[in-house]
Order: sequence, then C-alpha cells, then structure tokens
Amino acid sequence: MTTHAAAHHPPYEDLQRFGLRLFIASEAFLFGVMFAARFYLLGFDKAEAVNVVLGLVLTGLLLAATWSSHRAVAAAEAGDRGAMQGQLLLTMALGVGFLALVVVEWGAGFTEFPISTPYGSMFYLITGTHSLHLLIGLFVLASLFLQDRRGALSDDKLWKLRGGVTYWQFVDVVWLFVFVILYVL
Amino acid sequence: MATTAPRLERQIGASGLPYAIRGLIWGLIGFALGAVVTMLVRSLAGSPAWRTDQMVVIGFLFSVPAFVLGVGAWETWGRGWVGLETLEYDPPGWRQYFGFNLDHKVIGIQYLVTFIAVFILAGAVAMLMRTELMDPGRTVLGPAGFTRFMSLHGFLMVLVAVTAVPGAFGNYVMPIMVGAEDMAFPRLNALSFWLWPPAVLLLLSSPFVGGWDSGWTGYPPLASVNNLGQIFYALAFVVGGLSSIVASVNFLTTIVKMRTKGLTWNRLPIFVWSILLTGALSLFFTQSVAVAVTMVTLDRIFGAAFFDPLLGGAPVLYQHIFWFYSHPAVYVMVLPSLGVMLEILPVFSRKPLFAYKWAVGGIIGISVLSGVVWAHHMFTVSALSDANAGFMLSTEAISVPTGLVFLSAIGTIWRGKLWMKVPMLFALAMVFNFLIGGITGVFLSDIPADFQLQDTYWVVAHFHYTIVGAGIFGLFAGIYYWFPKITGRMFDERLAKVHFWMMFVGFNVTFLPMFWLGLNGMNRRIADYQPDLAPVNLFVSLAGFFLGTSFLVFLWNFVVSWRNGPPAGSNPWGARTLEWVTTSPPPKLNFDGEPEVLDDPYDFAPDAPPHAVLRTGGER
Repeated sequence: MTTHAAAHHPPYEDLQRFGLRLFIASEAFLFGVMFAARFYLLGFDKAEAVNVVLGLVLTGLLLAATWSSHRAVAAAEAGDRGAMQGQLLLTMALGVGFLALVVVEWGAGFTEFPISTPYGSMFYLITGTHSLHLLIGLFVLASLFLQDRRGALSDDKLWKLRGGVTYWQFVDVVWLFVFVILYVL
Repeated sequence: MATTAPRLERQIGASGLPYAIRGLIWGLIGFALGAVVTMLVRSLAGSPAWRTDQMVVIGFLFSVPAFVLGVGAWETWGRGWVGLETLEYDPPGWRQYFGFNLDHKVIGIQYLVTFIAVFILAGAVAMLMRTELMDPGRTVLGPAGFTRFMSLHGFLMVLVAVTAVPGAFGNYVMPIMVGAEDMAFPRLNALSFWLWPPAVLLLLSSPFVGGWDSGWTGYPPLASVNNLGQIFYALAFVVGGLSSIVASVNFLTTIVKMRTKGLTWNRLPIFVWSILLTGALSLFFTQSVAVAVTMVTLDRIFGAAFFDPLLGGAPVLYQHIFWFYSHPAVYVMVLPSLGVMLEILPVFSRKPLFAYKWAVGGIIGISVLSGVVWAHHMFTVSALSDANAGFMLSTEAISVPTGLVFLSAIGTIWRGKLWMKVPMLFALAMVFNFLIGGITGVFLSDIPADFQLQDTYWVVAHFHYTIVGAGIFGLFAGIYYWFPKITGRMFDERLAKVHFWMMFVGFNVTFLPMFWLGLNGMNRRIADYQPDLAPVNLFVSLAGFFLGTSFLVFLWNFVVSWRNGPPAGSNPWGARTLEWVTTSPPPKLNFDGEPEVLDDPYDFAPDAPPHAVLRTGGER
C-alpha cells in the first residue's frame, strides 16, 4: 500500500453515479429546450395525420424495455449472469424493434407531414434526437453484454451495468414526454 | 477508485507514428466513410448521389469519433467496451502530448498550448480586419471578405474565451488545489480535449469554402442561405459544446466528490468556486446552442421549416435558443478569470481575501441570474414586447453580485502590502478593465439607450472590455501566476513586464476610442464607415497593431523561459493553496504524501497554521 491509498476518495461507483446524474440533468435540458421550441413555434397545433396508435405501440415497447433492463440489474445482483444476459438481449431487441418502427413511421410521415412544415420539422428533430440517444443506449447495453460474455464484468464492476441501465431508462422516460407533446397534445 | 488500481503494464505510444497523426488519418477515413454512406442512402432514395452539404455534415459526424479513437482512445478506452484489457498511453518526452493521455496535467498543457495558438491566429485575423478599417471604403478585404474574417475572428476568439482558462487551469491546477490525484473521470477529460482539434481544424479550413458571414451568432435567415462555411461553424459549435459538457461533468464531480481531507466548502480556494459555477453553467446551457445550430443545419440540408417564415417558421426562435446559451456563456468566459484574479490578489497583497463568503455569493448570484437575462440581446428585435422590462431589470440586477466580486477585490488590496509582480499587474488591470466594461454594459441593458447603441461600436468596445479586459487578461494572469508551477521554471520578469505594459496600454487605446465611434454611429460588422470617422479609425488600427505585437513578446518569453528559465522552486510567490505545497512541476500523482487541509487558504498572518500539509506514510 503506497501513500496514495486515497482513503479520502469516495468509491468509483459513487463518482460515476454523481457524474451520470449530472449528465442526465444536462440531457434533460437538451430535450427541454426542444420541447419549449415546439410550443413556441406551434402552440398546441399538431398534424392530424400523426399515428397515435403507432405512438402507443412505441411507448409500450419502451416501457417493456425499461422493465426488462431493470430485471437485468436485479438478476446480476442476485448473481444470475445467464438471466442478466437474457434480459439485456430482450431489452436490446425491444430497442431495435422501436427503432425499426420509427423508420416505418418516418417513411409514412414524410408524405403526411413533410419536414418542410413546422410540425414536421419539430417531429423529426425531436424523434430523431431521441432515436439517436436510444442508439447510444443500445451501444452501451451491447457493450455491457459483450463485457459479460468475455468475463470482464466482475461483481465489483456492476456499477457499469447500473449506470448503463440508468441511462437507458432515462432515454425511455424522455420518450413518454415526446409521446405526450408530439402525439397527444 | 480507478487511479489507485494497479497501473496497467502494457504501454503504447513510445515509438512509431505519433498517435495524433494516426488520429488524423482515421478521421479522414471516417469522413470519407460518412460521405459515401450519405451518397448510398441518397441513391437508394432515388436522389442524385452527390450533395455537398449533407456529405460534409454526415462525414464530419463520422470523422470525429474516428479521430478520437485514432489518437489512442481505442487502446485506452474502446478495448474495454468490448471486454478486452485496456492499455495505457504514457510515453516519455514530447510524445506524451500527442495522444490520448489521461494525466490531467498533460491535458491542461494540451489545452493551454492549443488555445494560445488559436488566440494568436484569431488575433492575426483581427489585424487583417483593422487593416481594412484603417480608412473608409475598400482597403484590403472588401465588404464580403471583411464579414467572413470578422466571423472567423469572432468565433475563434469566443472558443478561446470559453475554453482557455477552464481548459488549461481548471484541468491543470484545480485538481491539485482540491488535493486530488487526478480528475474524477480521466478518460472523459482526455475526450474533452481531443474533441477540439477536429472542431478547430474544421474552422481553420472554412475560408477555403468561402467562410461564413453571419458572425459568431449565426442568425438565420442569413445563416440559412449563405456559404457552406456556415455548416462548418455549426458543426464546430456542436462538437465544442459536447466537449464543454463532458468537461463540466468532470469539473463538478471532481470538486464535489474528490476534495481532500479537511477541505471544507469554507476553505475552498476561490478559483475552484469559479470553476464549479462555470461548470454548472456549461453543463446546463450548452445543450441549447447545439439545438439552435442543429435546427439551422436541418433547415439548410433537409429543407426543414424552423426559421423560414415562408414555410411557417420563426427566425426569432433561433435568437431565443441561441442566447439562452450564449448569455450564460459570457459568464463562462469571465467567471474563471475573475476566479484567477481573486486567487492572485490576496497572494500579492499578503492579505486574506476580503469578504470571501460574499465573493462566493457573488459568483453564485451571477451564475443564477445569467440564466434569466438572455432576451436583453433582442431588445430591438421584439421592441414592443412587455417582457423587455423584465429582462432589463434582471440584467441590471446582475450588477449587484458583480459588485460583490468587485468589492472583494478592492477590499483585498485595500491597505495591503502590494507586491507588484507580473501576475499581480494583470490582476489589477482586470479590476480596471472590468470596471469600464461593466459600467458601459449598464447603458446597453437600458432599453432606450440600447435602441441607439445596438449594433454600433459601443457594443464592440463593451464586450471587448469584459471578455478581453477581464477574460483574456485573466488568462495571462493565470499563465504568469502558474507558469513556474507548470514548467518548474521562472519566466523573464523584464520581458513579462514589457508584455504587460504593451498589452494594457495597447488594449485601452484600442478599445476606449471605440465607445466614441459607437456613439457617433459606426456600425459593427461592416467594412465601411462614414468619412468623418477616418482619423479615429486610423488611430484605433495603429493601436490595435501595437496591441498585436505585445503577444510576440509574450510568445518569445513563453517559449524561451519554458526551455531555459531558471528553476523556480516549489513556491516562488509564497502562496498557501495546495498546488504550491507540492513540487514544480508536480509528480505523476500530484503529491508525495497525503494532503490534509488545516486552515483558510488566504490567512497570511505570520502565526497562522499552513493551509495544508502533506502527510507521508510514517506520520499517520
């Protein structure tokens, strides 16, 4: 043990959790600014052609993904790595399904509410930014899965899993707001 | 705690191609890949394959991660993402600066040198602008060339002002001041630096595509229809903004979570406070400017309707979103420098920092109010809006916390025993300059006066007095104050004083007459002016060239002293904060022992206990 034992420093998980919360707060500002811009530009107007049923299906997919990501953490903490990997795969599958449906929706939307209309601009900006964040979340989950497959995710590194899942769930929660302000209002 | 884990055995970077060069190659490959993907998608959608602006945007978004991985993030970080063992980049000598090095001291020097270079380049562009303005009519650049170089100068300097002090000293000095071995997230820290080279290189290449002419603010509708350079500006803003956010997470976590034993909030050096609040501002508000420039880019490359009134868009929306970031950003430019000033004044006055808690309260108050004043940049846009009165009041209210910072500075030097070394000269000059900058700002916050002064040289003079007079003077105060710590060598005091007096006099004779020019109706951002303003403009240009030459003196001294200066010792200024307790330059993990804070950082009484001591293993 050197003199650099750093007994006064908190454990890494503590730093990581704090830093992640800051980053999530910052990301919340990103979406908040876009939501405010939506109301500035459009008031409460929306395109009638927007498919609320599809929006509900998308919401259901992400709610299920939030639950399965939670189950992944619970399984890892109970020591069941097989179940954890299964739940991670399920979460990723739900996420990929979500992105595929978004592509379908955009394909229809380009004719119903094109990007050259104010609603269309806002719709593609907000759903596009959200999908980009979901894609990042997918990479994080895939990385966690891969690390566990290679045995690099030991029990003292489970903070990585908790952090990744926290970010994933944040992106899921953002979708609820996106759904309300783009599909419902 | 990651930094206490056993150091990894496998090192990279000690020989062969420098990683920075590999990063450039990977970045170019990434750019080509992004451009080809764009062409493929366009072909599949049945459009003509080639579309330059879309290919530039997608290509750049591919090239940035490729560049960062190429400079060594792949080995030091990315391998871990796929479950492989990560390697360490820690070569000796000059190579340590040219790759993904995780040491906060290396990163601080990378930031410092990079942004001094950007500062000198952007200053050279200002010399061109003043050449054009030496007499009325066309001189060297012409109207179009002038607005493009004005935009480049403005934006590069904004990046310097936002980044240089927190990047250099927030990284190098702050972790040592709080007694930490490194930042909380060393990899994120390296990432925050290595996002800058692609952004800066992109901006420096923008003149080759015709630049852009909408200034650093990039307002649509002009920004929706001008040259391709406008997209370079937007991309650089987004990538630089991401760097700021990542750096802020690191600053805040380090300050909140990694302070050493005994370093309570009451004992926190004032510079650390200023970095804490700067970090909070960047963390929240930077996102908004990314939204603004992204929306302009979508208008341009995908035909979106955000800011095109013919399609139902609203150009004023851009200004709201832009200034929602960019007003807090001016405090990001100034607060760290005010922190440097308040750090230096007690040391060279040999007195405690006057009204420490009120100064901290002032910094917090400025930060909080900065979020609710943005529309004062838009008084003439929404001249009939009732909200203007509220923004006028909130803007004028900022002078109260700013006044607290001022009173702390004045109270500190009041009846002190002033030691007129170069860092102190710069700190005192800041008090003088920022007073002029602050008072002239009051006129701009006043709506009727603003209607007259908007878009004149009064505004140019005002913000140069705040951003240069405080922000950049603070950068140089910090450079001279911490130069002995960072390099282990002392600079040439005589040359440094020559630099100071040239810069201080040159700055004031350049920018003070601009207030007069503004009152007499000279428009900013335009290459021409009415003939009766010619004599004063000639004077301002000559004064500007004089100011420009002062930095050559600085550069000479900086380079020569770094190589050959006499050894400085660990504490040449007799200061008390933690960075002066360790050696110059500090060892790899900053301290040969465990730092423990015992007392106030600014208590210069002869019998006061030291601010901090190092406990070695035996004493425990």
